Amino acid sequence: MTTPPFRDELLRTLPHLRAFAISLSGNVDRADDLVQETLVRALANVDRFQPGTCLQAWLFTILRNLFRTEFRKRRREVEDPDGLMAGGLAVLPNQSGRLEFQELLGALAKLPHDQRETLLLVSAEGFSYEETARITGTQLGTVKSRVNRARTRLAELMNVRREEDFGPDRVVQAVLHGISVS
Amino acid sequence: MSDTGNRARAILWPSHPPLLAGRRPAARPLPSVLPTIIGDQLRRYYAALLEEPLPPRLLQLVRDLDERGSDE
Repeated sequence: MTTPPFRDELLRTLPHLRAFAISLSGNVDRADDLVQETLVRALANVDRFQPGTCLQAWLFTILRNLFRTEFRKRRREVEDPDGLMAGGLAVLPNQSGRLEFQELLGALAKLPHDQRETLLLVSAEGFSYEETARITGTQLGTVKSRVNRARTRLAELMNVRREEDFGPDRVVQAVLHGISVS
Repeated sequence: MSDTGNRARAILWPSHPPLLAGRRPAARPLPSVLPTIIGDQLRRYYAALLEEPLPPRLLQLVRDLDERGSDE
Protein backbone atom coordinates (compact mmCIF):
# COMPACT_ATOMS: atom_id res chain seq x y z
CA MET A 1 0.00 0.00 0.00
CA THR A 2 1.25 3.51 -0.77
CA THR A 3 0.50 6.38 1.57
CA PRO A 4 0.02 9.93 0.20
CA PRO A 5 3.36 11.19 1.60
CA PHE A 6 5.12 8.18 0.09
CA ARG A 7 3.43 8.74 -3.26
CA ASP A 8 4.12 12.49 -3.26
CA GLU A 9 7.76 12.01 -2.39
CA LEU A 10 8.10 9.35 -5.05
CA LEU A 11 6.61 11.67 -7.67
CA ARG A 12 8.90 14.51 -6.59
CA THR A 13 11.89 12.20 -6.93
CA LEU A 14 10.99 11.00 -10.41
CA PRO A 15 12.75 13.76 -12.42
CA HIS A 16 15.85 13.29 -10.25
CA LEU A 17 15.85 9.54 -10.82
CA ARG A 18 15.57 10.14 -14.55
CA ALA A 19 18.39 12.70 -14.59
CA PHE A 20 20.58 10.26 -12.65
CA ALA A 21 19.66 7.38 -14.96
CA ILE A 22 20.39 9.41 -18.10
CA SER A 23 23.75 10.46 -16.69
CA LEU A 24 24.63 6.92 -15.67
CA SER A 25 23.61 5.19 -18.87
CA GLY A 26 24.13 8.00 -21.40
CA ASN A 27 21.01 6.82 -23.19
CA VAL A 28 17.51 8.20 -22.76
CA ASP A 29 15.61 5.03 -23.64
CA ARG A 30 17.73 2.91 -21.37
CA ALA A 31 17.35 5.51 -18.64
CA ASP A 32 13.56 5.45 -18.93
CA ASP A 33 13.63 1.64 -18.69
CA LEU A 34 15.70 1.97 -15.52
CA VAL A 35 13.35 4.53 -13.94
CA GLN A 36 10.28 2.49 -14.85
CA GLU A 37 11.80 -0.67 -13.39
CA THR A 38 12.85 1.27 -10.28
CA LEU A 39 9.28 2.45 -9.69
CA VAL A 40 7.89 -1.04 -10.22
CA ARG A 41 10.40 -2.50 -7.76
CA ALA A 42 9.78 0.26 -5.23
CA LEU A 43 6.02 -0.27 -5.32
CA ALA A 44 6.41 -4.02 -5.11
CA ASN A 45 8.71 -3.68 -2.11
CA VAL A 46 7.09 -0.72 -0.42
CA ASP A 47 6.70 -2.75 2.80
CA ARG A 48 10.48 -2.98 3.01
CA PHE A 49 10.85 0.77 3.11
CA GLN A 50 11.45 1.96 6.65
CA PRO A 51 9.37 5.05 7.42
CA GLY A 52 11.49 7.85 8.75
CA THR A 53 14.43 6.99 6.51
CA CYS A 54 15.21 8.85 3.31
CA LEU A 55 12.90 7.64 0.54
CA GLN A 56 14.96 9.42 -2.09
CA ALA A 57 18.11 7.58 -1.04
CA TRP A 58 16.18 4.29 -1.06
CA LEU A 59 14.95 4.90 -4.62
CA PHE A 60 18.42 5.90 -5.81
CA THR A 61 19.80 2.71 -4.26
CA ILE A 62 17.29 0.61 -6.21
CA LEU A 63 18.07 2.41 -9.48
CA ARG A 64 21.80 2.23 -8.95
CA ASN A 65 21.66 -1.51 -8.22
CA LEU A 66 19.50 -2.12 -11.29
CA PHE A 67 21.99 -0.20 -13.41
CA ARG A 68 24.92 -2.20 -12.09
CA THR A 69 23.12 -5.48 -12.79
CA GLU A 70 22.38 -4.30 -16.31
CA PHE A 71 25.93 -2.98 -16.72
CA ARG A 72 27.35 -6.40 -15.91
CA LYS A 73 25.07 -7.99 -18.49
CA ARG A 74 25.97 -5.45 -21.17
CA ARG A 75 29.66 -5.23 -20.38
CA ARG A 76 30.63 -6.81 -23.66
CA GLU A 77 28.62 -4.38 -25.72
CA VAL A 78 30.62 -1.71 -27.48
CA GLU A 79 30.12 1.65 -25.80
CA ASP A 80 30.39 4.86 -27.74
CA PRO A 81 30.91 7.68 -25.24
CA ASP A 82 31.40 10.31 -27.95
CA GLY A 83 28.24 9.52 -29.83
CA LEU A 84 25.91 9.81 -26.89
CA MET A 85 22.23 10.57 -27.02
CA ALA A 86 20.77 13.96 -26.06
CA GLY A 87 18.83 13.48 -29.29
CA GLY A 88 16.13 11.88 -27.19
CA LEU A 89 15.82 14.91 -24.95
CA ALA A 90 13.08 17.43 -25.60
CA VAL A 91 14.45 20.46 -23.78
CA LEU A 92 18.06 21.40 -24.15
CA PRO A 93 19.84 24.68 -23.49
CA ASN A 94 20.70 27.15 -26.25
CA GLN A 95 23.50 26.43 -28.70
CA SER A 96 26.50 27.19 -26.47
CA GLY A 97 24.79 25.53 -23.51
CA ARG A 98 23.96 22.54 -25.70
CA LEU A 99 27.63 22.07 -26.65
CA GLU A 100 28.64 22.39 -23.02
CA PHE A 101 25.93 19.87 -22.10
CA GLN A 102 27.09 17.37 -24.74
CA GLU A 103 30.71 17.81 -23.78
CA LEU A 104 29.96 17.14 -20.12
CA LEU A 105 27.79 14.14 -20.94
CA GLY A 106 30.56 12.70 -23.15
CA ALA A 107 33.17 13.30 -20.45
CA LEU A 108 30.96 11.70 -17.79
CA ALA A 109 30.59 8.62 -19.97
CA LYS A 110 34.36 8.23 -20.06
CA LEU A 111 34.65 8.07 -16.27
CA PRO A 112 34.77 4.64 -14.63
CA HIS A 113 31.19 3.90 -13.62
CA ASP A 114 31.91 3.85 -9.89
CA GLN A 115 33.44 7.34 -10.08
CA ARG A 116 30.60 8.57 -12.29
CA GLU A 117 27.82 7.45 -9.98
CA THR A 118 29.61 8.79 -6.90
CA LEU A 119 30.30 12.20 -8.44
CA LEU A 120 26.70 12.51 -9.65
CA LEU A 121 25.26 11.62 -6.26
CA VAL A 122 27.48 14.07 -4.38
CA SER A 123 28.02 16.97 -6.77
CA ALA A 124 24.83 16.93 -8.85
CA GLU A 125 22.22 15.41 -6.53
CA GLY A 126 23.63 16.91 -3.35
CA PHE A 127 23.68 13.73 -1.24
CA SER A 128 26.11 13.84 1.67
CA TYR A 129 29.19 11.64 1.61
CA GLU A 130 27.54 9.45 4.27
CA GLU A 131 24.31 9.04 2.28
CA THR A 132 26.31 8.32 -0.87
CA ALA A 133 28.30 5.65 0.98
CA ARG A 134 25.03 3.98 2.00
CA ILE A 135 23.54 4.21 -1.51
CA THR A 136 26.63 2.76 -3.16
CA GLY A 137 27.42 0.29 -0.38
CA THR A 138 30.95 1.61 0.08
CA GLN A 139 33.07 3.19 2.80
CA LEU A 140 33.09 6.92 3.46
CA GLY A 141 36.77 7.18 2.51
CA THR A 142 36.10 5.40 -0.77
CA VAL A 143 33.37 7.92 -1.61
CA LYS A 144 35.66 10.88 -0.90
CA SER A 145 38.47 9.43 -2.94
CA ARG A 146 36.16 8.58 -5.86
CA VAL A 147 34.71 12.10 -5.91
CA ASN A 148 38.18 13.59 -5.90
CA ARG A 149 39.45 11.34 -8.69
CA ALA A 150 36.30 11.88 -10.74
CA ARG A 151 36.55 15.69 -10.51
CA THR A 152 40.19 15.63 -11.52
CA ARG A 153 39.54 13.24 -14.41
CA LEU A 154 36.54 15.24 -15.59
CA ALA A 155 38.61 18.42 -15.58
CA GLU A 156 41.30 16.66 -17.63
CA LEU A 157 38.77 15.29 -20.10
CA MET A 158 37.21 18.73 -20.53
CA ASN A 159 40.59 20.44 -20.56
CA VAL A 160 39.66 22.67 -17.65
CA ARG A 161 42.53 24.49 -16.01
CA ARG A 162 40.98 27.74 -14.90
CA GLU A 163 37.52 29.10 -14.23
CA GLU A 164 37.56 30.95 -17.57
CA ASP A 165 37.80 27.62 -19.38
CA PHE A 166 34.08 27.22 -18.74
CA GLY A 167 31.40 29.29 -20.35
CA PRO A 168 31.84 31.78 -23.21
CA ASP A 169 35.35 32.08 -24.61
CA ARG A 170 37.42 35.28 -24.44
CA VAL A 171 36.05 36.78 -27.65
CA VAL A 172 32.43 36.11 -26.74
CA GLN A 173 32.96 37.48 -23.24
CA ALA A 174 34.50 40.64 -24.70
CA VAL A 175 31.56 41.10 -27.08
CA LEU A 176 29.13 40.56 -24.21
CA HIS A 177 30.91 43.23 -22.22
CA GLY A 178 31.23 45.62 -25.19
CA ILE A 179 35.03 45.44 -25.26
CA SER A 180 36.97 45.46 -28.50
CA VAL A 181 39.26 42.50 -29.00
CA SER A 182 42.59 42.89 -30.70
CA MET B 1 67.44 28.03 -16.10
CA SER B 2 71.15 27.61 -16.69
CA ASP B 3 72.70 24.42 -18.09
CA THR B 4 74.16 23.70 -14.68
CA GLY B 5 70.73 24.12 -13.15
CA ASN B 6 69.16 21.81 -15.70
CA ARG B 7 71.85 19.19 -15.18
CA ALA B 8 71.21 19.36 -11.45
CA ARG B 9 67.47 18.98 -12.06
CA ALA B 10 68.08 16.00 -14.35
CA ILE B 11 70.06 14.27 -11.61
CA LEU B 12 67.66 15.11 -8.81
CA TRP B 13 64.37 14.70 -10.75
CA PRO B 14 65.05 12.58 -13.85
CA SER B 15 61.39 12.58 -14.91
CA HIS B 16 61.21 16.40 -15.11
CA PRO B 17 61.91 18.05 -18.46
CA PRO B 18 64.45 20.90 -18.44
CA LEU B 19 63.01 24.36 -17.83
CA LEU B 20 63.47 26.79 -20.69
CA ALA B 21 64.54 30.27 -19.75
CA GLY B 22 61.72 32.78 -19.99
CA ARG B 23 58.98 30.19 -20.35
CA ARG B 24 56.45 29.78 -17.58
CA PRO B 25 55.24 26.28 -16.79
CA ALA B 26 51.71 25.49 -18.02
CA ALA B 27 48.94 26.43 -15.64
CA ARG B 28 47.69 23.49 -13.65
CA PRO B 29 44.29 23.10 -12.01
CA LEU B 30 44.17 24.66 -8.59
CA PRO B 31 42.92 21.95 -6.24
CA SER B 32 40.87 24.43 -4.20
CA VAL B 33 39.05 25.84 -7.26
CA LEU B 34 38.54 22.68 -9.26
CA PRO B 35 35.70 21.18 -7.15
CA THR B 36 33.77 24.44 -7.42
CA ILE B 37 34.20 24.66 -11.18
CA ILE B 38 33.22 21.05 -11.78
CA GLY B 39 30.41 21.29 -9.23
CA ASP B 40 28.92 24.39 -10.89
CA GLN B 41 29.17 22.79 -14.29
CA LEU B 42 27.51 19.59 -13.09
CA ARG B 43 24.69 21.50 -11.41
CA ARG B 44 23.99 23.47 -14.62
CA TYR B 45 23.99 20.25 -16.61
CA TYR B 46 21.72 18.58 -14.07
CA ALA B 47 19.32 21.55 -13.94
CA ALA B 48 18.85 21.20 -17.69
CA LEU B 49 18.07 17.49 -17.27
CA LEU B 50 15.58 18.17 -14.48
CA GLU B 51 13.61 20.48 -16.77
CA GLU B 52 13.06 17.65 -19.21
CA PRO B 53 9.40 16.64 -19.47
CA LEU B 54 8.71 13.06 -18.43
CA PRO B 55 8.08 10.64 -21.31
CA PRO B 56 4.53 9.24 -21.84
CA ARG B 57 5.27 5.84 -20.31
CA LEU B 58 6.53 7.37 -17.07
CA LEU B 59 3.61 9.80 -17.02
CA GLN B 60 1.31 6.79 -17.33
CA LEU B 61 3.00 5.20 -14.32
CA VAL B 62 2.48 8.43 -12.41
CA ARG B 63 -1.23 8.43 -13.36
CA ASP B 64 -1.54 4.80 -12.27
CA LEU B 65 0.05 5.74 -8.99
CA ASP B 66 -2.36 8.65 -8.54
CA GLU B 67 -5.34 6.41 -9.26
CA ARG B 68 -4.01 3.81 -6.90
CA GLY B 69 -3.66 6.50 -4.25
CA SER B 70 -7.18 7.84 -4.72
CA ASP B 71 -8.63 4.32 -4.50
CA GLU B 72 -7.08 3.80 -1.08
